[in-house]
Amino acid sequence: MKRVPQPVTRDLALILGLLAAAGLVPLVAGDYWTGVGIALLMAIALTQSWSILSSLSGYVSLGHVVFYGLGAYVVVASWGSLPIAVSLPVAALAAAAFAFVIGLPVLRVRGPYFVILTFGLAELVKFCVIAIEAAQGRASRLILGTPGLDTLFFLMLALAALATLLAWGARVTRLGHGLRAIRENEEAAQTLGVPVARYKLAAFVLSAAIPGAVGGVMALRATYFEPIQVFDPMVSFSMIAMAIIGGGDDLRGPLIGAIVLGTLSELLWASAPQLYMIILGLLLVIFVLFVPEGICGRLLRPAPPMARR
Amino acid sequence: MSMDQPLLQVRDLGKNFGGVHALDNVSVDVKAGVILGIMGANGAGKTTLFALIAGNETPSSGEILFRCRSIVGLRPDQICRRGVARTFQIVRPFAGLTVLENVTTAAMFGAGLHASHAGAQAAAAEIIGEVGLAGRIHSPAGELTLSGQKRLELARAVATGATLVMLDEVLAGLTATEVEEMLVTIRSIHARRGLTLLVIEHVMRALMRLSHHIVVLHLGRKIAEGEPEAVAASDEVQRVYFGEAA
Repeated sequence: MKRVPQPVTRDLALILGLLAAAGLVPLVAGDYWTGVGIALLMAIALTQSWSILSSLSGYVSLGHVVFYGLGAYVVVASWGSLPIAVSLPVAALAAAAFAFVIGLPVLRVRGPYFVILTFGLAELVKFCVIAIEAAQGRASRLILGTPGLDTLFFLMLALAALATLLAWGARVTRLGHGLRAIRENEEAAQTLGVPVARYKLAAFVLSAAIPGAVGGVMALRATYFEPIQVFDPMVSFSMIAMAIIGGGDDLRGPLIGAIVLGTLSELLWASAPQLYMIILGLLLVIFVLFVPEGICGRLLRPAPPMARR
Repeated sequence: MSMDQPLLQVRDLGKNFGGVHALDNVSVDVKAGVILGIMGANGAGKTTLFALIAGNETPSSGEILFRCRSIVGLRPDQICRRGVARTFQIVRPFAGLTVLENVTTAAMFGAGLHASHAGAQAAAAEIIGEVGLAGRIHSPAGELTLSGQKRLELARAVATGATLVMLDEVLAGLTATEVEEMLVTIRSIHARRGLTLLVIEHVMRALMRLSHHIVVLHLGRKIAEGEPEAVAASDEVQRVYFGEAA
């Protein structure tokens, strides 16, 4: 049989090429654009990670901010005692470990119950962290001597590339085939030999790691830490919105969704935050109703697939 | 495994749902290579029997031995890995995936015969041809007709590499012509791949023609067993199937 590179592997090469090109931004542009770049790269890293679990297996997580927040907390709490070369990987590991521990019970429920459970869990962890901080007499922390903007940009660039690689790996291996089968019909998948519990847990853990490190980098960028901010549910909502608008099953979907919404947010968030929220809401309604397969599913495929329920 | 041992041994199998005996002390031996038909009215316990063997449900009592090893308590994916597959009476295609992706997934997992995606895909394409879906290989499974989806169920079960394949009403809802085509397909796959088949069917005449051996269930109990002609002639079957007057 002739070996033809799979489209998803071509997409990977294209995305990594674009990310490499984005690496020029801090060298040629000023701090403003570097800042915009960090925000976009963050969106790409988070949405690619989210898609590993939610787009492939159909288990829609509405609480992915919990991993971001935990990662931020790890980096901030260890600030001054651990170098970021250690604390950022630890943040990713902590997020993955947390996903592993909560995964088995949480992934037993399906559909809307899973959605609500993940949301509730993220809120629970948020208030636990607030309580722990309050018990130590703190409402927020300042962190001094954080790395410069360019360093943070390149860290985030690396995380976006890593998340894309993981998302690609999840699509081309047995894991991806098993997860898509679970999404389409879990009982049929299991009866055909897919170890569903193990695969769902693997996807959950893989999708949690990078958001942990992203949270850590963003805490360094903010230079202060407030639980209510790093556990903000809006972070979870954005991942879902970007995946829906871009088209999450396709490797390019999270990238396109992140660029579209990230740009919109950059244009409007500072000047007209309410207008941004209105447009975001309208876009979501339009996409869910009329373009459920997202921009990639609609425009970038050779033959338009059948409309899905 | 010794050659004279049955491939599948069902011993005193029982399943209660609440207070209802869906299956009550049923024992069946299935020799390797046969087509065993399972007859019975609605509620006879046929699908429950499949669900218990495939691990979708856990028995309340009894034992199931496959290749002389107990499979009770294993998960469906573990049982599939040992070489047992089933279709679903109410079809469960992976609707958003293509026919090829559906069958490739079964070949990649299943009994674990194919480590590589390319190998699984080649095996899947061959089976898709055998069930007569070659023309729809790149169609989303959700777009197939009912007859097409039944063929897809069959293709997926075979693609797992199972030696024991359980077909749950793959003829139901098909037109007379489609039934004839499906019988040809099932026979040729059975012969070509050396499978052992358990077949549930409402279309009694078709089942009689297809099966080497028939088991009749009624209200969760086995009431008759034997060659198709003998079973059809048995008083008990005549009584429950055609009423007292027959």
